[in-house]
Amino acid sequence: MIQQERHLIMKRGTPFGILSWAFLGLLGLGSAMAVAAPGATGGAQAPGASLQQGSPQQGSPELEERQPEQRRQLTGVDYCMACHGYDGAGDTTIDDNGLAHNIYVDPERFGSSVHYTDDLKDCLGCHVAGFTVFPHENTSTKTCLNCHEDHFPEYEAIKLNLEKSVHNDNDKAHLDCSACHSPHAVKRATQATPTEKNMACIDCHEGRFNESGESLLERHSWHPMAKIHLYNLPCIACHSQPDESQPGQHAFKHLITRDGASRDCNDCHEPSGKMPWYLAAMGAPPDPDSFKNIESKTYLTGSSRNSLLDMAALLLLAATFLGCCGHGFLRYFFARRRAAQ
Amino acid sequence: MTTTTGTANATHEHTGKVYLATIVDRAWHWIHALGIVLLVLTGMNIHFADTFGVLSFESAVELHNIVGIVVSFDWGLWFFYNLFSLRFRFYLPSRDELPPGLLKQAMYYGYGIFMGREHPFHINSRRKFNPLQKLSYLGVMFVLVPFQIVTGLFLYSMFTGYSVYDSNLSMLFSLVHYLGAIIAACFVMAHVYLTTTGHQPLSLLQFMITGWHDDEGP
Ligand code: HEM
Ligand code: HEM
Repeated sequence: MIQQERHLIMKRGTPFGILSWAFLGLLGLGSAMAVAAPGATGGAQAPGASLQQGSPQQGSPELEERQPEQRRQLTGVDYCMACHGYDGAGDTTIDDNGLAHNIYVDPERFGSSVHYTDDLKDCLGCHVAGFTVFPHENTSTKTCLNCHEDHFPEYEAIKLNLEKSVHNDNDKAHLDCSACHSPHAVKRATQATPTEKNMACIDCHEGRFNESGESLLERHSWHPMAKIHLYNLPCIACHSQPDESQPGQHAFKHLITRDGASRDCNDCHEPSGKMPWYLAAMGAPPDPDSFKNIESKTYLTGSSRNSLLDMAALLLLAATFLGCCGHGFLRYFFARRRAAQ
Repeated sequence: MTTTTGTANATHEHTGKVYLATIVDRAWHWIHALGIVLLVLTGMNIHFADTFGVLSFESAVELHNIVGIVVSFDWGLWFFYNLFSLRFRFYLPSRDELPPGLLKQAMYYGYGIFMGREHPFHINSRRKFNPLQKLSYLGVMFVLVPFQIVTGLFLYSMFTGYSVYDSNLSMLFSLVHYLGAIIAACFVMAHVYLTTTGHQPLSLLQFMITGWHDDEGP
């Protein structure tokens, strides 16, 4: 990756590179226009574009009493966004789990999350009761399993790991899924960018739950390639350890702290390192043959090492050094003896 | 170090000094010495980026590449200078040196040197190196250093974008480049140690600084 990036940087400077960047730019402009065009298909519409299409909610009796057009207005995402999409909105109360209750919903992240793009373009779909009165009272909101019952077995497996993780294993906080995986920003693992994934951690650990007060980069400055890793990898690549008994996406749910996280390049970059596990969790099939393929694609000069080979190399160096010292000592010893005779 | 070693109390008469390392010999050699020591150190800094971090990874890579290119040209200087001045004859073992001469020299390092025997091969205007030196200098200058240069320049061309980056090839080339580097590091250690085996511990070093060898003999 390091070399690839350097390689790209170099290419940008060449005439060919400039042309291809210009071409990419045009392409991007074109597709942005296509998405913005009315009636465009495929592209996800931002919350502002999709008003007035909610349906009356079964679970909210207050709504039943209102006029149809009023009802429609109240279920639109934009209606709620008037308050919740305002970035001055933020932490209100402290919840039972020890976390601040943040009422801000980032319109952009929500607009690209699956809960928006996959047809649930409606706040009251989950916020089933108490949200049409102001201030909201006697509220009731669905949990993940209310809709995703079919994922119950996976949920149980993940929950076991969550219970072992620092997020549940201390006396400060006992988090549930949505504390980190905001339902307003969920995406499939294979679709979310590393930055989007890391928001789950950064939301807290760069702010309220940053105990040292140092920036993320400062905290990771021990790493010889801190920036490249920090800005291109998901936090869990280092702050979790895959468990071979749980292949695939559950493998990375067992989070580990600063003290437990690996500081050894080989932990990822060695052929038997955990990088293939991570890639498997991101969508590559977790069978050993495909790992071989991944290994060679993740090779990095310098950081990719084989500990056996390094051991042999260091032994050879040490043997040469000690051999020279020993020979020199013997020469000195015999010369002294000859001088004494 | 004042203790005399090696041939210190040998009976052999030294007939004098002989000028064998020209200014060009000494120039390429010391550029090489400094360069390869730096390449080994910066290379290790690249390889053990997490544990051997004297320089940052980026500066180690930059320095390694600059020194690598200097050493490549320096090797060219060595090659063409020796080719055109016909000094390669100093490096080529004669027929009776291989293997009996090698054995004789090895016996000296393994036994005679401790007993204070004299060097089996004396230096004169026709013989600059003993058979073991010839063989190791040939190996290093004709095989190891060019090998490091070729593999190093290949990696360099991929990282500068001159040739297309391919991680499979990169893996192979950095692996063999790394193995070469380990052998080079071993050579440098053994070589520096063997420079103390002259007539006096520092006389070979003096030779490579002044150009005059003090062990002239038949
Ligand atoms: C005797 C001479 C040399 C030694 C001992 C040496 C040593 C090393 C070592 C130990 C590495 C790390 C390899 C790894 O961990 O995978 C390395 C990498 C490298 N070497 Fe050399 N090297 C030498 C000559 C050269 C030369 C002549 C060049 C040409 C410019 C060169 C260019 C490189 C490059 C491009 C890398 C990859 C590192 C990077 O730039 O990211 N080396 N070298
Ligand atoms: C700190 C490092 C070094 C020191 C102190 C050193 C010292 C010396 C000395 C004292 C000699 C003369 C001894 C003799 O006649 O054999 C010599 C010769 C030689 N060294 Fe080194 N050396 C060093 C590094 C290197 C390196 C890195 C190389 C090559 C990769 C090298 C290659 C040679 C060769 C080829 C000769 C024969 C010189 C000639 O053709 O005149 N040396 N070195």
